[in-house]
Amino acid sequence: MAQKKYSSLQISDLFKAFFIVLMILTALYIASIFIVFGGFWVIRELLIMNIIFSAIGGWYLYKTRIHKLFLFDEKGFILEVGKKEKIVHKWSDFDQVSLVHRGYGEFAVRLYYDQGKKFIDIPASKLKLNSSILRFEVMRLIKGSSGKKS
Amino acid sequence: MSQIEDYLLNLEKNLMTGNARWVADFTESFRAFKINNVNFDMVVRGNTRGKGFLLSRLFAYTALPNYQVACLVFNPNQFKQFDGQSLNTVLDTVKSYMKKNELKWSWLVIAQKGAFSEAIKNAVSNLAIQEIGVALIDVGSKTITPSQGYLGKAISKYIK
Repeated sequence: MAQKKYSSLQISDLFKAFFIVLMILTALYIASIFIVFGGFWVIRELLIMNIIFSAIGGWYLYKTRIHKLFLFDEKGFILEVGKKEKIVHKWSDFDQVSLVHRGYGEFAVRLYYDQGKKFIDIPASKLKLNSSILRFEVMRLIKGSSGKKS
Repeated sequence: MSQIEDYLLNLEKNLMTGNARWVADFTESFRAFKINNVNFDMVVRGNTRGKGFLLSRLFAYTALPNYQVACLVFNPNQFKQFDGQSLNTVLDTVKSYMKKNELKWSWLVIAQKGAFSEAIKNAVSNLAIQEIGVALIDVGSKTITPSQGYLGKAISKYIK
């Protein structure tokens, strides 16, 4: 089985990152205007600059901290969250699989290990994967790997 | 895809994102789940406190109890003959699972393709367990035989 790679653009997360940066920059803008001029003025050019910097900062925040990349083959998988978090596991590490509804129609495939005490979520909806099909695929891979292990 | 598997997918969807959310917030679904040597086709776990958004979340947090609940789906074909004794075995398994996981109530759905015997229909319709609602469903004809009690009566609306 060839390695499969899923890494689609997660638009809701990108907007989230953009608004986080926009809120921080707007708060800084209001505070600095108030400190320098002792009042509040709307300077259109600065507001436009704010939005441009928020778009750049939001994209950077999204790519480095939020964007999800999922690679898997019959042996195991790699789940990267941003540039800093990388989870690598073999299917044989897991003993149970479930489908989790996280609210607002968002699903994840939950993989239990350490006799069900710990788990990892594969964010199927964020990766634009069919969560139910992925769940059955993962169940098959775990079953196959445990067969090879024993 | 088999009729049972098709039914399980629909039921899972209805429990997690459909109208069953008015009863409980079912959030996690396990397939091929083994409890005390009994194989359940599906076990869906949840709680009675929905998530909601802003005001409904505040309402849920302040007014609704946070009971852990489950819906267990079982295919009787794994028994050579599914009779009253087998039903008691399954019910004991569900009770032990509820006790272990501190569940307040459960639904037990016994699903098969084809009609159930009159004896098992009578056994289920005479059941009156307060914390377990039981229903037999023939996935071909969609005929439901529920147990007595509040949970038994409520189950029919959500498992078709």
